[in-house]
Amino acid sequence: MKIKILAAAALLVFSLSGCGNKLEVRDRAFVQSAGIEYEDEQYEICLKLFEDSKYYNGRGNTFREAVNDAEKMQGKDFFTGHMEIVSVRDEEKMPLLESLVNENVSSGCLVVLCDDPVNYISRNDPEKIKGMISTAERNGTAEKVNICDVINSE
Amino acid sequence: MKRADIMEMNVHLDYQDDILDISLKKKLERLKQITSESSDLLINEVDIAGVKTALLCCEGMLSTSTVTELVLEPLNKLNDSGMILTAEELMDYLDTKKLLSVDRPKSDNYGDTVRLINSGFAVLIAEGNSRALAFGVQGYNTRGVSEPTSEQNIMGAHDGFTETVRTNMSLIRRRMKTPFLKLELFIMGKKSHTDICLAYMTDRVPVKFINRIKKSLKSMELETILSSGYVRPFLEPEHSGIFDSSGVTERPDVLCSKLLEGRVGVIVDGTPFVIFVPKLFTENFQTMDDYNCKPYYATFVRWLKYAAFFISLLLPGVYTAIAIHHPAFFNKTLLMMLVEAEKNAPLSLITESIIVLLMYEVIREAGIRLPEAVGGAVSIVSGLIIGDAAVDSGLISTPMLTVIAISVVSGFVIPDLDHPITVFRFLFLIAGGIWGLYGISLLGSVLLFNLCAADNYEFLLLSPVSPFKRSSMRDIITRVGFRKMQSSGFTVEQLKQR
Amino acid sequence: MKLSFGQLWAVLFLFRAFTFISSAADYSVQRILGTAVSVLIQLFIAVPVIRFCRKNISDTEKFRKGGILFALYFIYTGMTAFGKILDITAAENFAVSGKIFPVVLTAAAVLYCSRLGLGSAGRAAVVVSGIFILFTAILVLTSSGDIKAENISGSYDENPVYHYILTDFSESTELPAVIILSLFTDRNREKGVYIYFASKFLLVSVVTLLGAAVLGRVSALADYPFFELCSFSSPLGVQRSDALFISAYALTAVIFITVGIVMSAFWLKKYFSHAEIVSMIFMAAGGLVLRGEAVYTADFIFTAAFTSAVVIYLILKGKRNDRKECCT
Repeated sequence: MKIKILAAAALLVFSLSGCGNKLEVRDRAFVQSAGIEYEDEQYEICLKLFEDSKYYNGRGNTFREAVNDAEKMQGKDFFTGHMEIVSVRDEEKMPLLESLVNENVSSGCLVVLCDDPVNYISRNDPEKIKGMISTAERNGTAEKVNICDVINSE
Repeated sequence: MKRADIMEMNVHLDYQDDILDISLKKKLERLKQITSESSDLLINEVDIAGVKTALLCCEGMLSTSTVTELVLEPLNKLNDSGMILTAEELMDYLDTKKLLSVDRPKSDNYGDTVRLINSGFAVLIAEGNSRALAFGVQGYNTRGVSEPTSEQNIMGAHDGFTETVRTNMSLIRRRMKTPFLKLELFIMGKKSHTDICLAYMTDRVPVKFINRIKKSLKSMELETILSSGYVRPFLEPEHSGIFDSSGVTERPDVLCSKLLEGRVGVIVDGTPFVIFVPKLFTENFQTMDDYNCKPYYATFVRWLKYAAFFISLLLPGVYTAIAIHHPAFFNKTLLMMLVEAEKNAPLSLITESIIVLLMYEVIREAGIRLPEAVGGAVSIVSGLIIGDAAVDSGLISTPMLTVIAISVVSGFVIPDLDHPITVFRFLFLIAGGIWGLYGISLLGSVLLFNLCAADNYEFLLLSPVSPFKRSSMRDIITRVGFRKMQSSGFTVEQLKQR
Repeated sequence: MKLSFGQLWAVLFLFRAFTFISSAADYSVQRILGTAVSVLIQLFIAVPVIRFCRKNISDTEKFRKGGILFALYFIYTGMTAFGKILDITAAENFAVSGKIFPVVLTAAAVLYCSRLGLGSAGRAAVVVSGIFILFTAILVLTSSGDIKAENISGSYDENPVYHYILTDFSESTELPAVIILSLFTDRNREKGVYIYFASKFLLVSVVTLLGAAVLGRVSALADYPFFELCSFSSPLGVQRSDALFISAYALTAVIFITVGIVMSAFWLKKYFSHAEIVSMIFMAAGGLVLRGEAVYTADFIFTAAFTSAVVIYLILKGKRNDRKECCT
């Protein structure tokens, strides 16, 4: 009995001591849109958050490293699970989007192809971009595609 | 303690099986010694038919009018008749030729004599005879049959059990006039000599099961039995699980329905809560009202209760787990609302939720214990001041308060499961906050295994869900109509572990 | 220690569900075909052995001497389970991740559960399998909006059908358990086994087809395609519901490891007084060592080896019983 109590107490003390990587909601910032470019074997990204008009740039050898680099400017942990829009160049779309599959980015995230994704995201409000995509889809001028659709189109 | 005091105590303790003395004087001296000359012991010495006798009773325990009419007047008439008898003849005459009351136990030892006196009987002893005749003339103050406070219903009966075992027995007998209903009285408790009644249907309950229950009851070595809570642990397995495997009810109609299903009822004198064994987990979601309305509505309410159970148990933990560890589970609008609410919160989500839950438990306990006059102040203090002020000051966020409130209110729907839900809600909250949904799932699996392993007298707690019995599920998944139910002849024996 | 045929089915189904969720193989038409063939092969191996055992071997107590083989098998399955838990908790952003913490937490839970016996595990498996089927139905219904027929195709890695036959066989580490657990089943053991094989094929084929239609090539890219598929499921308008399947995964993992501990302890009791703790320690330690993606070749070899060993042992045991009865 004593061993059980000690083991339970040890488990609880260890867990409550904050040794884990628990992040509160207020310690996170939620990424809404991202523009990704790949140059000189480096990822260059621009991220926009929900309810924040500022943009955050970052660079790194992988997407995750680039995000961590961008976090330094904001001070909070960036959570990409809610990302709604990702912008890439047409010629780079396959390798970049394939690298996002295991990076806690939903495969249902909408894709926008343009020549200068980083600037495009930094200059445009994500809600506006979503509105433009919906309008274009209604008008038949463009198709609403997500990461999964683009990867499967090849 | 001094040796003399211990020896004096032992004299009191050793009286149980001592045969009554022949001499009246010795009998009275011994009885005074056993009762330590308690002020409520009334001794009326009188000659009846030439025999020195004494009528003993306990003040306040008998009805003056009843004893006067049934016992004193006939005895006085006997005196007036001029008959002269010996002690033996007098006792025989009163025992076999006169019917002074309907309940006439006899005693030949001090133990039973004292017990009968303290149970409200008028006990007659005589010089030259070692018998005691008791007459059932109880008239102590009891609470009348009233609506049960712990089990409300709309369309069912509104009478409930009382603290008197014999009244409770009559409430059952009134509903089940079949000769197969057996009510067996026992006396348990070394000091309290509490009456305990076993109620069961002889055509539904195997003798082996009854014997096991009697054995469990006899294994009780309690000095006093003041409520059904004293008896219940002896009717459950020694290492009992998290959920109750025996139930209590304050309603005679509920108990009768359980008896019809082959369960055994244990009525304890002094408490209106009657125990029944065994209890299945699914019964926590059933009420008598279910059988007073249409099956479709009863089915709807039942599923509402199942959902309420999971909401009450899991919602705070799942909410905390998702908010901290899995925010992708929230949709965007909900997430932004949460972010806004928690932006300036000084406390972590887990701490906030534990504080709110603890606050609620304290308020609930205060509401139960406080006198009625002050009870209103609790709702004002808790609702307006603590709830409103805490949210306005930003100490607690509105979403968190809402989640806890939903969880708590859901728990009200299933009061039988209140205790395990209260404790496990905290545990799920801690597990979810620290280890996310994985931690909640692990704790949930532990709870599930405990439920699957629990059994009482070889009745598995989770049956008929697991082990699955399709024919019995019709009253779990739905509330089957009476036309179908009437021919089923369901008893719990069908669910027994083979 | 007895199981009903329904409990036998539930335990085996969850064994396979656990390995299926933990699988890294992609979703394609070849996989469905490969699974069909593999299931048939397993059926042809398992059923005759079960029938033979039903006629010739009746008392499970007799295995105490030779059952070290069975104990080793269940310890091996437990080891792979812990290894997979470590991989998936890290890859899928579970709240518990790290070098040993997921193992410690899971071990604490399964140790308690294993003390309650095989009967409890069987009953719990029935409930958990119901939950799992419900969650899978939710997954199918809520992902169906994202189905695109053009995504369904052959293997994106251009693997032939026999690759998926081997894949399914190596993922079916429960195959020896099918035979061993049926010995602990009183009646209708073959019925339970038939239903198990059918439901296993149904689960794999339905989810594979759905995954192929929804994910397409993404299933070949994702570390764990099942969780990737879950991210497309959006019941009640939630963003992603893969978190829901974390619960399903944890429940199946607990059943998987608990049954393993109970069964291995059944034979290890002869050598160790606290057999459950010993089994659990072996499993956890092995899982920590095995950490890293399960290599299909190794899994295939172990599954084939244990299956062969169990079958040969039981046949020899049965024939020895035959001879004893002849001689007496």
